[in-house]
Amino acid sequence: MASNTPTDPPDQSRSPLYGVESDRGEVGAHPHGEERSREFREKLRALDRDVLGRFYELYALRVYNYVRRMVGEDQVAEDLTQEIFMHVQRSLPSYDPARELSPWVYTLATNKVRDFWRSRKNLDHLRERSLEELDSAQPIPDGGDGPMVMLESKELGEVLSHAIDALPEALRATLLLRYFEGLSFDAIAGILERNEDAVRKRYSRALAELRRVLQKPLGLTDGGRA
Amino acid sequence: MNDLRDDQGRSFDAAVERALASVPRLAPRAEFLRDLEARFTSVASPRAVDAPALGVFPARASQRASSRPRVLGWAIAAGIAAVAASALAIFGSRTSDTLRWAPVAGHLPLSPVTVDGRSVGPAEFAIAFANGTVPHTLVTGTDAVWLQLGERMVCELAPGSEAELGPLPYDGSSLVIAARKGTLRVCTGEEFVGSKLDVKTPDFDLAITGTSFAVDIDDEGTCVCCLEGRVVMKAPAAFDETWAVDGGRMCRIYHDERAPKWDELSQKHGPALAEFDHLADELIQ
Repeated sequence: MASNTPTDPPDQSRSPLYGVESDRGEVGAHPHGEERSREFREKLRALDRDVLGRFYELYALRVYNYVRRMVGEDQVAEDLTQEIFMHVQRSLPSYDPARELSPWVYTLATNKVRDFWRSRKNLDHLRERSLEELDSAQPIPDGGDGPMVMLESKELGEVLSHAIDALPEALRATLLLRYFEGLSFDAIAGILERNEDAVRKRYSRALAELRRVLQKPLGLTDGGRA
Repeated sequence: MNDLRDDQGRSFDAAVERALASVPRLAPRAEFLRDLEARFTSVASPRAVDAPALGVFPARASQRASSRPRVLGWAIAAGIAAVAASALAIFGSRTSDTLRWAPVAGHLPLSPVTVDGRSVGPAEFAIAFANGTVPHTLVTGTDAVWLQLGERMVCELAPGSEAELGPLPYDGSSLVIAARKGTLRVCTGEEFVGSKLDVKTPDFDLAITGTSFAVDIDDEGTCVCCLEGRVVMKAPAAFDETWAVDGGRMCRIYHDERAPKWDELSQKHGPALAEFDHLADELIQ
């Protein structure tokens, strides 16, 4: 396990969301530092074709996955992802290359998701689902010889995927941005318009919820140890 | 692997991390990804256009229904227009192979226009075009000037604008208009297919084969707005490239050779160009 401090973004070269490891040229691959270069961002603002294509490779699946996890519907996620990329396209000429790219992109994405929610009041019951409902909403298979034998990797992934989807909006967004997108707490605070301490607490709560949901199938104790 | 730690520095154990690593990747439809990529990267990057050959672009496809008559609102305007229209009827002549610019009767300027350095009123303006002489420079006053070239194209020179018209009569080959100041809007019709229009501006030259577009020149630079089709331009010398502006988009080029800005048609330019295009359609389609 890496030894990142809580304030350091996780290693982005690998992402469990897109498989164990992503090839550099694969759509959805996590950035390998190039997006953090000033030259890359300046070329992006200038709408350099190669850099635009690379940006798309880096962000298309990441943004889609973030949005899809947040809204819970494939078609809606595609529509919003398209809107986000068109918004990015329109906004690039005014983008400040001194600004980090990921927080900018996810701020746009988060705002689109919020707009969607505002227009879909009937989804409130999904967003506001209480933490106490997690277990009952996504029953975890029981039985078997032992916690790690009980669920195959695919099943574990599905259980955890459901658990993430069932997290309240604020916790889910924090977890996705922190763990899967590798953003710093400071950047997430800017995106979610909360202070950094609040974001840390949300992240901690999200982890605790996942730990609780996985406690039974993985045989975890409250301290998080198997 | 990502490191899960909470704000107390506690971390999950390997079992949980393995579980998180198995979270399935969510993939949209491949078709969606391809389409979005095409849209996103076709932002008409100024350095990215694959230097299209000038003059090979599709003609406008729209055939809008003509519905909005233009009304001259007051009697004096109607009177002046009638005189001018009579002049056009008397002197104006067009043939299919020797077209001349002609003022549009319903869009005659009510304020003086400077034609080849001389200020003329509406009636004289119409006659100036119809009597066989070929006006070269036009400077509009407080009203726009509309000119029509047979069924091939309609141009609008907005108030406070200046342009030079190329050699006429037009024989179907290349035609040149030089936009010097202000706003020039052009709408081409189906008969324009196969023809070529070159529009020269202080910053670049445009090669048009069929589209509806505008160029807007101010102190800072020149804006090319394309409503339909595609406008191809020879970029300023500093760039030594050929760029394209597709329908619904605009490109602003600066006199000082700053990097150009590309965007969707703005509220400043889009509605005016659409309005012009709508009315021009009625004349040439």
